[in-house]
Amino acid sequence: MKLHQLALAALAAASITSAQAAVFNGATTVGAATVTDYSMGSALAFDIDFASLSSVTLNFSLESADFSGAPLTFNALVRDLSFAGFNGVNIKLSGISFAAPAGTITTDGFASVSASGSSLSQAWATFSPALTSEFYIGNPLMQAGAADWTLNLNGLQAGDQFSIMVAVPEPETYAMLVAGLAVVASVARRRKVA
Amino acid sequence: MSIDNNRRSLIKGAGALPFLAALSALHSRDALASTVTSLVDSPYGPVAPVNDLTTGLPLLMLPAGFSYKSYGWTGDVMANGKATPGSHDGMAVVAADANRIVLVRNHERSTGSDATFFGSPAVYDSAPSTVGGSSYSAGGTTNLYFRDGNWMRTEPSLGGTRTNCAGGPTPWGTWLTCEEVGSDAVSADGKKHGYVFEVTADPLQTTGQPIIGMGRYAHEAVAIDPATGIVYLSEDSSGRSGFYRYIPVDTSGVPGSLAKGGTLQMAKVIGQNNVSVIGAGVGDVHALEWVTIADPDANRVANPVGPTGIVLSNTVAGPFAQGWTQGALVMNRGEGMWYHEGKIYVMDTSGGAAREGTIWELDVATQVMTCIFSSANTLSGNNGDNITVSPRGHIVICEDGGTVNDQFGPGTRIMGLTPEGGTFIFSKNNVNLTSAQLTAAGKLGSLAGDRRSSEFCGACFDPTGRFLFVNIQTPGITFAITGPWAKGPI
Repeated sequence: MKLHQLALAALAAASITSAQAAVFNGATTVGAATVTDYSMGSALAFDIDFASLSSVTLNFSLESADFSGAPLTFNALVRDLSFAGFNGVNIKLSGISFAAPAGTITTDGFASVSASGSSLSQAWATFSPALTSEFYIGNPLMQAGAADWTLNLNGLQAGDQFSIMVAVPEPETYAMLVAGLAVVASVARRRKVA
Repeated sequence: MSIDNNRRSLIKGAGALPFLAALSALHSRDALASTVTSLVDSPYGPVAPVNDLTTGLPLLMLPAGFSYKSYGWTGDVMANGKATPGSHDGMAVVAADANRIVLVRNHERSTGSDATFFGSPAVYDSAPSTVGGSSYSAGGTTNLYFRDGNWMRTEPSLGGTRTNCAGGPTPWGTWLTCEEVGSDAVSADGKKHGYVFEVTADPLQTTGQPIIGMGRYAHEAVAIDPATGIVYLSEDSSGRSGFYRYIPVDTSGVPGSLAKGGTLQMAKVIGQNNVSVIGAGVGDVHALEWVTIADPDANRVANPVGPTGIVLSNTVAGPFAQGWTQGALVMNRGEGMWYHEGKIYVMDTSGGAAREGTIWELDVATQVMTCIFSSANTLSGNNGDNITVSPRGHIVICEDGGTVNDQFGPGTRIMGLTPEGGTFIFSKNNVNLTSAQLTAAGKLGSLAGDRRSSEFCGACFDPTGRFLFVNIQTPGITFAITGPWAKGPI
């Protein structure tokens, strides 16, 4: 393991806390990434620093407190420390779903969101040019026009586990992923029409 | 939801990662066979005009995939309501704490009519340049704040200084700004110029006190060895430039520690007197010793004579004369400097056989300096000035020649130095604007003109390595550039 990867792993280990109602059980990383938990109250909030084009899965457990009070929301500030550029991002839920209305995916303006979409279990965006600074899932900086992603707890109960995967894959991987999402969306539309 | 104010506090630690990753040698020069540096194709690809994300104007040429935001133009209103001074020059990131990056930017202005010193909280010399006159020291520094990929504001920090050319960051998060003044003239209150000043990230902590022990001469830049606290300094005095170091008495490394005094010394080649390194080629090596400058504040001296009788005609700075008489070496015009991984890099802007620039690499442990860049011609290097080392461990050069006309046309350049020792074009100055274009963009129409020969300066990276900050001196613009850095060595 390279020295900077060791340092990243150490930072990730040091930075993981569980201050929110939904218990953060840590992150599973593929490649080099640092996850920092800034969650407070019912807001799941993270900084994710990718040192390579890879993915991070955030793992949680629900507590009884999650079912009272404010809705559970999610946001993340995602930095490109790979210096390679993100062509896009895919956010995938497991064990939970997004509630309406959908949240936002925005950038710091050095690259634009050229396309985006979401379903109950996924959200995605593509960037143009490839993003090399940072982007925002939801509204981590409390900016006008941006909104956090609300998580739907219907049918769930305390003790249930769920995860949120954030992936910034290689361009070719991402092309396949977006194509797959387009097919899913198309099928969903046909079913709705039918 | 509420946001923790310390949300981004780990940026400082995370920012160190690219630096940690750059453990490989800065340059593997084994393959170098030539004594001059040649231009090679850029690993980032060819450059082409790219529109500024702030104004929409095509200010820079960049490789595909790179984008930028301009800020802090001459005349832009600062946080205190006053106009941003012009003549942008040296610059560095001095702080990257929770939620923000702070840069300090030099303004290489000599004298002018502004007796408010653009509202700077610290003013060194508030008197007219001459008794009864209405001209004042017009240089100084401004602090720029950058947050979440966006420029936030500009605040003045130091005024009443002159010709603040370059400088250098300290390991403790301040900026040393250098007056490039080669004159014994004093202002109406007897203040001399040609000193180094320390500027803090919080402008209100800047004292305006000169660090006299670092000498009084045409300072250009500094670079600090963090292991010893020794400050290395360059001098920009054509054909009469020394290479200096300052050993502080207080090595605690806090704001103000350098001003407590120290010993100024000038480089000398071991066993040889008054060596000229002006015409150096790649691979030239010199082992250094240092001679002490007894009076760093001494006045200029005419025609100093070296130990073996070599006379330098005309006047030289007082510190230089003291070094020369002890056999110290001479550079042509010392310019930008940077520290990286145990090495000090210094640009001699008119060094080399072609007088287009050389870069010396000083190993601080062995005190041996090696020429790693010597421009073959205007194309491979056109009087490099400020330099920095990227977080990925390679040298970035700001050019000041203004005469190059390469395959992309005229325009000063930001150059990169490859691991193999060649230079490549990373960016070109494309500022050629009409008054109407500027006015439409909310800028001063008086800045109009073809500015493509104006120097790039102040190149530096944010601690994460994502943003390259750089200035174009005239009309005075600061840029934040980002892109797929991993495609090349920068």
